[in-house]
Amino acid sequence: MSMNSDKSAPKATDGNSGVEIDEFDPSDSEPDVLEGDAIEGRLERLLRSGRTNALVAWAMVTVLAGVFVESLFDFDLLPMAIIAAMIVVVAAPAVAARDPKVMLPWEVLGLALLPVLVRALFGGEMGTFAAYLAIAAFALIITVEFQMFTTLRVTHWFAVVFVVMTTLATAAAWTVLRWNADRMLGTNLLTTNEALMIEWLYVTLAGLVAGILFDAYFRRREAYLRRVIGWVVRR
Amino acid sequence: MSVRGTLRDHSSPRTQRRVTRVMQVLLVAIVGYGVVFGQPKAITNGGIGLFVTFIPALLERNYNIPPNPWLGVWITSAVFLHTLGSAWFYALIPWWDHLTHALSASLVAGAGYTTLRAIDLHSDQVEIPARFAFVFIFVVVLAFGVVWELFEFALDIVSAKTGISMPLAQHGLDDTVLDQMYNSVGALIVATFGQAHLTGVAARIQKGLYGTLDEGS
Repeated sequence: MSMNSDKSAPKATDGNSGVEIDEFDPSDSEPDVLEGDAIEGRLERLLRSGRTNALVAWAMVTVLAGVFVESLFDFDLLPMAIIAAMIVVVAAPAVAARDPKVMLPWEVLGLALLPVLVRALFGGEMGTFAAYLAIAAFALIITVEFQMFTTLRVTHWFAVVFVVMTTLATAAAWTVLRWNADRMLGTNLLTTNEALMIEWLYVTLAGLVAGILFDAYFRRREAYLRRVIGWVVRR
Repeated sequence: MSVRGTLRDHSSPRTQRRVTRVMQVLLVAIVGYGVVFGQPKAITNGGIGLFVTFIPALLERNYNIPPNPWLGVWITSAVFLHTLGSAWFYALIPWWDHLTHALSASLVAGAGYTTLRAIDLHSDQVEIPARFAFVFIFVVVLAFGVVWELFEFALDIVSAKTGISMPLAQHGLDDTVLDQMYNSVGALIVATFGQAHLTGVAARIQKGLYGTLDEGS
């Protein structure tokens, strides 16, 4: 992935141009570059290539890899598949860029992986709210990566709305799966309608909180980038 | 292809109009029945339903969207079958509930997809390829299903606290999950067959709202 090739273009549309570099090079940061693709680039600018960020992110991937090996020994197929998919999603930007420093921001990754990390490191189970907050973060990561790797292009507000809806839809799909498992495999995953409605209520809250959180996060990152660029240009 | 051809055929929208009118008249009859025999459920369901059936005409007039007779039939039959159900058939025919859920979900899916296409056409920054539209339709329908069931749950709580009889109610865990499954059936039908047709509807809405038809990149 070329970091600098499109910086001169006022409005870049190839999707790779918005990748942020934490250490800004004064030569490639005219303020109008940001103005030009401020809206479109907002999503991809979630990507970072700072060293500290990469270290934290890869530390989380290492824990994931540990969990994967553990599930390999226990031969637990479902956790194996889920963890493997998580590793692929998290490592995809670095692999695509052939640069281990290109990783998603650790705070977003941390939110997405929180239930798995807490379970692996401390052995506790997270509640419904935290689990669905993590699913919302994953939906955000996947949206960003689809934007990177396919022709899908969405804006900041579209991504936020989509993430909220995906969180609710995941709860619905998971409920249908559990209900059918209860019927066909004799499990007891669902209890009463009231319990399910209370779970869905928490899921809806988690989805809305995630939406507000991501919206605020996008705005703050935007302001931060403006500050950094302003600082570099003034020098 | 045939669906699309029929939709383009504006020479005989009379049949669709007539079907819509007949269902509206029957809805009025259900409301009347509710008034005469003191059935509040029939009045609220029939009344709200009757109002919903006029939304397409209102939209067409206020936003200058070319009328689509099939849209009227689609919306009116969803509302009509639900009102019939809450008046009699939900209790009599076990699969009636599944039928209305699939049909209403197809409406939600259609509305969601049309909105998506309209955003896609209107905004330069948003571009949604067709295979993502398939996923999007499912996400919209399933998410709407969750919100809807929570709404029914809230009505149940209010009704239990105050003793007021509500037009909608939940009927246990199995019913909630089955509702979601039949909602997905409706979403699947729209996602599979609806895309080709609704693309034209979104373009026409865009044309009605903004005058010119932008080239949909």
